[in-house]
Amino acid sequence: MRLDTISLKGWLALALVPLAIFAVFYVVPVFQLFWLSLSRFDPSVGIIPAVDPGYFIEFLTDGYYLGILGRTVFVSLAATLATAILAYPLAIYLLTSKGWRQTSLLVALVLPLVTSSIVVSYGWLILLGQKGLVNNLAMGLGITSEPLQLMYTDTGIVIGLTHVLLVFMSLSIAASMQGIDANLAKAARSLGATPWTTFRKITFPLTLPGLRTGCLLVFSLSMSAYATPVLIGGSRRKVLSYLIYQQSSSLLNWPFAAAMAVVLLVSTLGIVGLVRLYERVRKNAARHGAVAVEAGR
Amino acid sequence: MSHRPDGNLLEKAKRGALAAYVLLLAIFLAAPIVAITLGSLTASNYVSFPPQGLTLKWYAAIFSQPVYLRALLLSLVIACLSATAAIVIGVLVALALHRYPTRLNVLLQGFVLTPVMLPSIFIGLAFLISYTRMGFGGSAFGLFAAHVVVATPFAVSLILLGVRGVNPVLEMAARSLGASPWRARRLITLPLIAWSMAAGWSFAFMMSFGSLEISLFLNTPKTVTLPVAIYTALEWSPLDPMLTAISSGLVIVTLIVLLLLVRTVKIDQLMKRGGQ
Repeated sequence: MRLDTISLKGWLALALVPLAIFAVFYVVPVFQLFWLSLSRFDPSVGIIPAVDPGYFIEFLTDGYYLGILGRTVFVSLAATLATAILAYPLAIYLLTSKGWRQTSLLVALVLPLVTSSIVVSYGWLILLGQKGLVNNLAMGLGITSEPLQLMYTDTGIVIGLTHVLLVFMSLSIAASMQGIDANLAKAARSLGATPWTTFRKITFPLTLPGLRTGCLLVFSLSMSAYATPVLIGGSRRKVLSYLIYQQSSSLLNWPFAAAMAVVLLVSTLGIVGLVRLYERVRKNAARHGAVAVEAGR
Repeated sequence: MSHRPDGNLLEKAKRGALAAYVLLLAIFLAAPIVAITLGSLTASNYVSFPPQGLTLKWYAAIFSQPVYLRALLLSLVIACLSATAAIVIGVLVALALHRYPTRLNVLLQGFVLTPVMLPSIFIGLAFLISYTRMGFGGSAFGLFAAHVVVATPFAVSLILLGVRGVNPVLEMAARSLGASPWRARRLITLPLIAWSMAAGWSFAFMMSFGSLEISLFLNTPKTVTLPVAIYTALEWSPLDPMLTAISSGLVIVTLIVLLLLVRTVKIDQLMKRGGQ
């Protein structure tokens, strides 16, 4: 039941001010960025208005830029995989524990997210260095005799991204686990399935929607992360967001920076969209399949 | 099955293994933040973890550096103002979204909730380009406007949780007794969603206070926020212990707000709602 009658006036009274504020300070800037990405730039003249996809062509045909795009996608996929593997036990614990244990784990998960990314990355800088704690521990335990190179590597970037984004994967999986009827697992166990088989055949397939949401979230946030890859990877392992900032602030070439920002947006949202589209197609196919079976009877 | 003693033992071992795993990951999650905080206590002239000796001299050193104090002040003011603006907008948007089932809400969602979905580098650059053209590119006002845009989606999502939990009949009763729509909202709905507004404010505050990318694009010598100041200093002297002291100051402010947030939000309720 709704309180207010569906009146445009009532809606407008609430929504008009927010719409106006976001139109001016958010929607217009986004459109101006798209528009600027088609302009040209000359160091001596500045921005030259044009409708020219030149910077897009330059980006997509140059091996240097494509290599950086490739690395960005690679570390994002690796971080997605790492969080997916690490998050399952965390999700189970989040749902089965109570009181301060549950709260502490939640706070531990959220802490890297709400602490400024610059501080968290700085922390990794201290821990992952040649003489950092991680290397001291690894050598002390005899895992390695030489200090591991973690700073300025893709591995280091993946560690940093996994750390910040684990919360999204854990909460997504926990949310879909919560909806599962506990009797299903009990039934499987009573029919003789081992706990592992029960998890593999019953619980895991039912958490797939949450896993998918988590993967999409972690992937897109990894693609656009800035502080973590820039501080851990540095200029030696550049990612796309670093390139965009460098182009706009050091070289002042806003049109090229805008074009790269559009590429970043499209490759992030594009992959997310493709996954969604695939789901819909498969769902449709499944429905048609079911109809065909019905009709065949 | 679980009545058999060995089955019980197995269950206990499994619980223990799970708890140990969770503890390990909690250490992983806390490690960099603990490293910064404890590293700032070192007596040596370079950052080291574990710290060598204990001293608070690096915290005292901050006070002789007005640059960082000014940056801290600016960050605090911007975060407070933008979090407040975010919950005001958040209440309006949440009420419009929940109480009016109109198609126009797609527009409202598209305008107000999407900033969180776009890469912050993308939005930061868009703000730089556009705000410069509008004439307030390097000003504190531009910084404030940008932070409002970025923080509001979080406030809206949390306040929506509150609004969904309010029985609309209560407001209707007030209306039938002669209260105007705004009076009914102010006296009935607002007190009932106050907890979600507090949660929304804290989250928006933390998002603004820690935001690096957006502020980085809009920074001029006059509008340096604390994360930007740390970022810039890290390029020159990453091993200066004073930087870890400033960073842990940032952590402490965030922790205080986070603990307040945990106290206001009923976590069980949040998880339940999230699962639906």
